[in-house]
Amino acid sequence: MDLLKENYILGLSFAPGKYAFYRVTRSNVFPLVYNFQTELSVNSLNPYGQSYTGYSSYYLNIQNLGLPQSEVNTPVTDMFKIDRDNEIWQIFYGIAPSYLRVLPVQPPSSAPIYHLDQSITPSQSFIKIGFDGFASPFDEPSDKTEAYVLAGLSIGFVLINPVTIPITPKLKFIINRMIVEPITDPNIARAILDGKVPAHIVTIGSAENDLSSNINWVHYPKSMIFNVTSGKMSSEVKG
Amino acid sequence: MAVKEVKDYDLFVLSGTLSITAAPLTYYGQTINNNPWTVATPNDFRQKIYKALITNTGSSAATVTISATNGTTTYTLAQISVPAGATESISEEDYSIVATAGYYFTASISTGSGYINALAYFSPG
Repeated sequence: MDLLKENYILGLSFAPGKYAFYRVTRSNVFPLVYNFQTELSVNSLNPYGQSYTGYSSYYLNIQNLGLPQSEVNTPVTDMFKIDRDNEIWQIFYGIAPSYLRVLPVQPPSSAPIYHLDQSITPSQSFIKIGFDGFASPFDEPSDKTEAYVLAGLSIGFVLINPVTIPITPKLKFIINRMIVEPITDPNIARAILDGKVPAHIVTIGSAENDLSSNINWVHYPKSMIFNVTSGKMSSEVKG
Repeated sequence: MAVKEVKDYDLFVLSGTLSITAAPLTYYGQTINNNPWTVATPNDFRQKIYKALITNTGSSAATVTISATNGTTTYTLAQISVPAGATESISEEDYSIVATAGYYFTASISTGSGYINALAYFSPG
């Protein structure tokens, strides 16, 4: 896992040539085991392609990961809902049992990220998409599952049971809660894009969707979006 | 892909009552819609027995046979001798008992009766 640490630079890519940059000022990393059965009362997933009463569908789209019994006794409807200023969470997740397949969905109400075309969604004939616990073991989450959560841009998951016994899904999240400050100097932005200043630049959401309008920029005061077209750079202030 | 390491959360229980007639090992006593639930190996997976306890409740020594079948073709995978009234423990280090796609496990005993409880797992490929 490539965890971002203090003073690292995070670049968010929203569209070709459209970036926002942040410097990490503070960070805490912690694991969180999420058991869908205990937290969301999701029954074990049905065997693949079968449907028996008392079990959840073998294919399940979960938009909000709630925490009904949080430490402060206040139910949390979506643990990935950020409502504080200047926070970005970098997350990874390990998958159990290993044959469970997981697709991230961002924003949670949309189609899964890992697909070839918007019209293709998981089905019985197209089940091999997504990562399973062999690709991202429960105890050792893989880089492949890296995702970012921002204010206004939560994340959901599609769970698929591809095998013929019911399974009880669990994910182990590694959450890197970062406090960031925006980079507003276009010279630094240019240097980052030229590769002169090291930065971790990531695509937000799926490759074809610009999710910048989903982000609640009020929580990222003084953020700057840099637009690069034909080598020329312009900027707009957000937040 | 690296060699798969079995974790606790990958394992599931197969169990069956042994008689002279081969019977499927079913998934942890689950009965859904009153049908015994046979775990057939899905495509892209292999199903393997990790550990098993085999008990001979009869009054004479017997041989327990574990097979894999897809309903038409049956392969004998292991034969284990169990003394009368005894329980034998086997693990995947002793016996490689693997069912490929479309196959499920069955077991039978040469004489008398008994039961088998096995931990199994799926592995890809």
